[in-house]
Amino acid sequence: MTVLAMVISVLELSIPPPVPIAGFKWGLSNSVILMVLFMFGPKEAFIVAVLKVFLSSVITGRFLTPSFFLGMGGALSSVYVMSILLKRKFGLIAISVFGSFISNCVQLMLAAFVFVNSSRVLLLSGYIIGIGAMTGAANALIFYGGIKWLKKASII
Amino acid sequence: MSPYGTEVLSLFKKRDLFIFALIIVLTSLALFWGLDSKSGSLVSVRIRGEKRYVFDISDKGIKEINDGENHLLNLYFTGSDVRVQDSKCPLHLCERGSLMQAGVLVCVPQKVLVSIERDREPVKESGGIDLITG
Repeated sequence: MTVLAMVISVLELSIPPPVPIAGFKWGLSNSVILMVLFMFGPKEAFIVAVLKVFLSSVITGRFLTPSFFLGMGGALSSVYVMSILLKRKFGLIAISVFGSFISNCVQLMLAAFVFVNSSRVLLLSGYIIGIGAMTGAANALIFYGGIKWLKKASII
Repeated sequence: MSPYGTEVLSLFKKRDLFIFALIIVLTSLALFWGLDSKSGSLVSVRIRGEKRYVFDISDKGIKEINDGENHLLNLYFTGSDVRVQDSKCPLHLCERGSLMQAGVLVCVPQKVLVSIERDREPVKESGGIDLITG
């Protein structure tokens, strides 16, 4: 699972990002994290999320660069809120969309107040949150399809 | 097989409406705010949050941006839009997209932020060296 999340995360770099700002990506590997969260629980999802950010940043030579910290902040905060919403039995699309929303908010705040030191970064928040909601919904569908497929193949 | 039980496996639930409403409202507000910031005829460049350069949006040609010691990147002015070129950052993500598209250009590794402004404010001095250009 970690390997899958990492491979997707690295491959994702070859797709143009939705907005022209460093560190913001499509977040497609989030569907794998969602799957780990659903199948094993929050502890395992946290471990996979941390490993994913850590390993993909080492592979792409970005370890300890701003994009590493943005990725880590986004991944941890989204696993946290997604685990709460899953416990409270929200629908999958809402869980994934809200996870992406929180991840984007955290990354925008980190970029604005820690790295670039200008609140003007937040002018991008409309695009980032809006596009993040769409990729969040797509991730939920990928996850749903994945679970259905695993069930059909009677793996779970 | 899931610690949450299989009944959680549905795409939509009634209670989701609250989350969708919240995100739609916040996204619209943020989009309007972003669009509003696109009007103006000045292009300002901030390094680590400090305004260091102000250009006119109708300028043409290449402007070199440096922090006093190192050359950070070039801004290519087309006469109506601005793009980042030859950035010294590792990933060159800031070279994708243009100022009029996004409203803001950001290079996170180099802490450079390019945005559109209405009024001309004085450019901050740094270490006694005057960096006003354009």
